Amino acid sequence: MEPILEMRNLCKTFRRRDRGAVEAVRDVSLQLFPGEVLGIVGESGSGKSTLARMACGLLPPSSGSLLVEGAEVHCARRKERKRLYETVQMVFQSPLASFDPRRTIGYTVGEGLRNRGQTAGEAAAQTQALLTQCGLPEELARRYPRQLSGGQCQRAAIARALALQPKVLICDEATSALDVVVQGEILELLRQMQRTRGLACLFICHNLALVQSFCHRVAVMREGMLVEEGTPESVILHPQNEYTRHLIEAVL
Amino acid sequence: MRGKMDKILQKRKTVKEIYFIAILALAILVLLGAAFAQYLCPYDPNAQDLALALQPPGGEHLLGTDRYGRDMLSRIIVGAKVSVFSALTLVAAVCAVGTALGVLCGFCGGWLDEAVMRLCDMCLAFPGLVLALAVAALLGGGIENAAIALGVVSWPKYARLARGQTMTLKQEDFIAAARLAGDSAGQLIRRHILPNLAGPVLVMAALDIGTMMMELAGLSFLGLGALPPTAEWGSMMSDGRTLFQTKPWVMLGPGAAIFLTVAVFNLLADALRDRLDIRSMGNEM
Repeated sequence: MEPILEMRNLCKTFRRRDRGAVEAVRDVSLQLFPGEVLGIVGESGSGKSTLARMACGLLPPSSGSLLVEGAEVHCARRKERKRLYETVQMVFQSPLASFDPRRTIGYTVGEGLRNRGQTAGEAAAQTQALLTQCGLPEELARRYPRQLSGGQCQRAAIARALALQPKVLICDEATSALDVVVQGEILELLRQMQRTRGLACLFICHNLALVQSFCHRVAVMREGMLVEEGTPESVILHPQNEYTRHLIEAVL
Repeated sequence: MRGKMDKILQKRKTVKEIYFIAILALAILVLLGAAFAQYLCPYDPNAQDLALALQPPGGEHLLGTDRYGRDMLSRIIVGAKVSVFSALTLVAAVCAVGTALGVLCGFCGGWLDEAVMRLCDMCLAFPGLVLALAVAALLGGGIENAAIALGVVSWPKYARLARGQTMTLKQEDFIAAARLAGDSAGQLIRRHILPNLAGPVLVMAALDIGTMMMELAGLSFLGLGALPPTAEWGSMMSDGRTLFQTKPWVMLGPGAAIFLTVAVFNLLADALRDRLDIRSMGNEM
């Protein structure tokens, strides 16, 4: 089967004025297949979020290439980026921060649809449908982000990400900022959407138990590099790499 | 218990709302008064009657007369037109130019940012008064030239504020999310950046109306602004300067006008700050 999203030797170096260069991601190659959930674990600062941002075109890689459905994407070109956004969307860690505080939920969820050329009416109708699918009452469309709970906000964020009917959903610690009960609900929603829409999912997380139950495959990152990759059973129960072992022990 | 709390909060909100509307109404009243000044004044503001020079307040001339026998009240009302509107136009222009440049700098960064920021530094390094003197020497006196001089030294403030806000906003997740929704740079600025920095910029502009009025009046006081016989609060105060010991009303009238108008706009800025605060966005259930 052809991977839907493929990273080939992706590198990202940030140049800082005072501290010289920081290599956030070094030579990462990963494949994500349609309908698959790939978990990425690693401690803070290991380059997970940078990788996620490169995968959806928010950050251009310093070197290496990104392939979507087998075709290379040049993040520098506007048209190519648009194609990337239609395929890859992202759910952010903080539900509140990913909504413009001055815009209603309905406006934000429907923004991509209107950008695509839908009329305001069509977009509003589809926004309502999306909110309902994500388990939110329709009248929430008229509310502002601050009027929603964290869980509701994250559901709306998922609705927004799904609006453009992507084939890949990147969840950058999408459940970390939520309490345990809400976390479970959001995971259930993600699982449901992933199954019904056949979404591939890049699930970035540092909760190993969660990764074990949710993902088909797990990759471990350390200092910008991929150190281990495999099924959750093999990686978490029988880790080969010393760092992975260390990470698991830290949890236990 | 909960209901009681809600009621108190509700009441507090209503009080705030009434306060805001009152201040806004006051500011609009000042503007309207300035706009229709010529219809409001009881006497011709420039009509001289030396027989009636330096009448004390009360009687036929409510605020007295100046040394040429001109009615102070009429001159103060007409003076509002020059003082308030020149300050308003100046602030609007400076705010628009400064904000536009600041947003562009903050959003694009790079050499444009560097160039504009250095220009800012240069403009800030000029003392406003000295620049006004230079402009007056070059272009002649008059309130327009005083406004140009003030404009040159005050746009960098807006550029700096807008640039800083834009740079912070650019890092926000919701900007990244809007980018993923397919927003172009122009759409990002128009839909998400400008509305989010409008609050602080507007508050600064409202505060600036008062400051600019005072500075323009100051320049006029020094003879660099409005030229006689134009009624302008600063130059009117300057006229009354030598008479302050014996005929204080010639100076106090326009002084009080400046004080009250500046106070109204400062209060407006304060009320705007409360109202435009992001934290208030979620409370309108």
